[in-house]
Amino acid sequence: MRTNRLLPLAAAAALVLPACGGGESVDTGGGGGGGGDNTLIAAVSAEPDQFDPHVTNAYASFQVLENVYDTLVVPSAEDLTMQPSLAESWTTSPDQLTWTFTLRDGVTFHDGSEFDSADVVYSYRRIIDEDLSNAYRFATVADVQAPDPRTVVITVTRPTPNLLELIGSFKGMAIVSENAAEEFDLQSEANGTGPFQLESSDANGTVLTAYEDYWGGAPTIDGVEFRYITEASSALTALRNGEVQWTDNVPPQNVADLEGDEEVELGSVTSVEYFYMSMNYQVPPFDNRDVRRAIATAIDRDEVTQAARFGAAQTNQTAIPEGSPYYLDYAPFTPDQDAARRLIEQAGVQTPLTMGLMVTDEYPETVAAAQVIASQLEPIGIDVEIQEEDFATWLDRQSQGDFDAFMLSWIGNIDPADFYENQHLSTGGSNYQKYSNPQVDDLLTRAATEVDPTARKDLYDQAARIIVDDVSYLYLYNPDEVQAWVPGLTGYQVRADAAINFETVELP
Amino acid sequence: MSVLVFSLIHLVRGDPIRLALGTRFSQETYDALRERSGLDLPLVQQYLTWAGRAVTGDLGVSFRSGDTVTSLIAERLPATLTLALASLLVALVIALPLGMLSALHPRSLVDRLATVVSQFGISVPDFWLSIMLILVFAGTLGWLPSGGYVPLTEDPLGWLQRLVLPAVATGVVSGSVITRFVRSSMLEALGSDHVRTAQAKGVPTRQVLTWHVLRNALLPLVTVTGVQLAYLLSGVVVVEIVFSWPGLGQLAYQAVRDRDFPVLQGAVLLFALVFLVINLLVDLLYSRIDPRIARR
Repeated sequence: MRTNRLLPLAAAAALVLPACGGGESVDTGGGGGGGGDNTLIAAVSAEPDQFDPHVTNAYASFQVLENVYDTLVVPSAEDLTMQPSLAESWTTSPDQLTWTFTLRDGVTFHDGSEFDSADVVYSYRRIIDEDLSNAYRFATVADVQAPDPRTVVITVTRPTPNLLELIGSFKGMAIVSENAAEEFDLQSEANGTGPFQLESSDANGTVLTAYEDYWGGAPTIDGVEFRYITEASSALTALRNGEVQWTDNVPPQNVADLEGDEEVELGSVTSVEYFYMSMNYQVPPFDNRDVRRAIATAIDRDEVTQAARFGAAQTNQTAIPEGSPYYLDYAPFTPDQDAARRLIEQAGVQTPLTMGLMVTDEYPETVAAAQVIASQLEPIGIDVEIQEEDFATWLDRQSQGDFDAFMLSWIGNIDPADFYENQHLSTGGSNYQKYSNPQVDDLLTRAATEVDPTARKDLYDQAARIIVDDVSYLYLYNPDEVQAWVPGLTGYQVRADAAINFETVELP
Repeated sequence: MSVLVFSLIHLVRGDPIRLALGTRFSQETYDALRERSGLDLPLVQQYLTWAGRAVTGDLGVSFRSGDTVTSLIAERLPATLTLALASLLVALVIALPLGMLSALHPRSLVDRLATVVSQFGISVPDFWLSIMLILVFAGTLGWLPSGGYVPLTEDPLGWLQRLVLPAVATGVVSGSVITRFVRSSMLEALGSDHVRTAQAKGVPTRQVLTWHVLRNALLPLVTVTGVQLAYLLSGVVVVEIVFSWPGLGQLAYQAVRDRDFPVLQGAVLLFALVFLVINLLVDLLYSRIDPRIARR
């Protein structure tokens, strides 16, 4: 299967007597090739931990799985609204408690078996019954049934307007074939319905081949080979000299350079990820609203964004990026150190005070941002002590409430419920700052069951304004998702949810 | 030893389950995964189960991938062995001539040059050297691939091309260390009484060098080479990462980040074993080189 396209003699010459002149491309065919010339070689920054879509949580795994599996519905590349995929259409009952999905005809799994409703029931029951990673997404689901092979009925305990997003926003909710967990070793094998089949995977890379019978039409390329290149400068060098044709390992500091580079094409879109700082309501004086507002007023988000992302981001005082149907244009804070100092005085807090700001090298930009924040808070009498931890320790301290303040980001959000519930409901599972505002609780709870889209957005907007005003989270920016590929590669689109889909890619 | 490994690893802060589940999950999911991973059991029981299996060669299963630890290690061992031996070769090719030349001509231009070069090799950070090598040889010149690994059996040329840069990056560092030992042990042997006697007797210089100087200088050299080899075999984490070299260092590094205890325990145990075996080999080699040691 692997080919060595060079004659040994020519090869020796290539090694010993390298061609003169710079920038000539290196033979790549020898290196663990995964097919013919029409295979896309993609450099990703990490190795997938495993391929069971219902178990893994690694982004590196989902980069591969996105191309192998399908979900009932799928976010559109343009604005992430939910589109038909394995489900062709759906209806809801008048009481909003029953969702009926009509499945697509003529879909087959990679092993040739036909896709039907039993596969959907099996996949969802597996997640629910075994309490797998995404079981929380079925919190309101009472039952999943298959009255006939083309129909799936999901009943919910309360109206769930974001059900489509819950079951379709990423491949963690993939449909596997019935009994797949028994018939396949899903950690290393896959049997999906997607455009590519998982051929092999080891410490060197992961190889996908095109699935000729894909219901959406076979991909134009023969396959994809993912190579793991952690070091960004290595990945970019590999892209420039033609060893790989695509990479998402583009650090923000390289973006400006690459923009003028003729050997590289850049794609960029503001992502739905958001970076924020959170202060601990259990640790005085950060329980004081005025202190938090003083900090929010002292911080200049443009400077933070510049330092952390070299400008490759949109500053934002709320969570949801501009361009999303749920975007709220609300920016009450203007950087003003005098006003910030007055707020601190008003709070009656002794300055200078010390604030530990916990960041992690897992997200290097939080370290850079923290340094700028420290310099911005110093003039108003707050000494920021930057505490850099490895991610495991960071998470531990976060869950134990052992922090004054921390910085991190949330990814993979599409519906406003994702952006607010878990983080700002007083009972929210990720409300580590211990924010509690009955008004916000009420608004978010009502919004969760509001089926009229306009009324629902209005409720979330109201909640968001209070969350921003109270500084439950101090929102900073939405980073750009930046990816790079060789000039001439077409049919690829950078997505705001950072999903990597090579279905329609054509190589130069 | 295994108790130490086990307890040290479990003392480190960080919860593998939380890391595996990401940021959003239900308590039921957390409890279920904890039980499946066996982390709900008392630590002593976890240790006994692990140690009991480890003596039969079963090092357990990775929390993350579900693969057995032995298969994960076996998958990465060839890459690590390849790089370690190639690096050692580079190191010796640099160190032996350079060290000998500077010992034979102390304080000469060659000696000073060698000192500067080895000082550079010891002090230059390996990640910097690696990135520079990539930028120059893979980037600007385009002579060699920027990284990756292919098994020798599949593609001998690709294997060699990909091996050159990482082997040089690690070999330069090891070679610089060894150069200094070669120089100092040769100088010491050159200055010893039996060498002066041999020279006084009129033994030809070449014979003096090979029989009286080199043989005596070899002992410390073997020791330091052994230590360097053990270090290289434990995986050179940074160089492996920069060159996307799928070796044991990367495996161990990722296991630390994920708090993937079974993998980490397996890797650390293996590294300990490597040091023991190499030290044993070095000791055995001593008696071959210097019969006086065997007789003692």
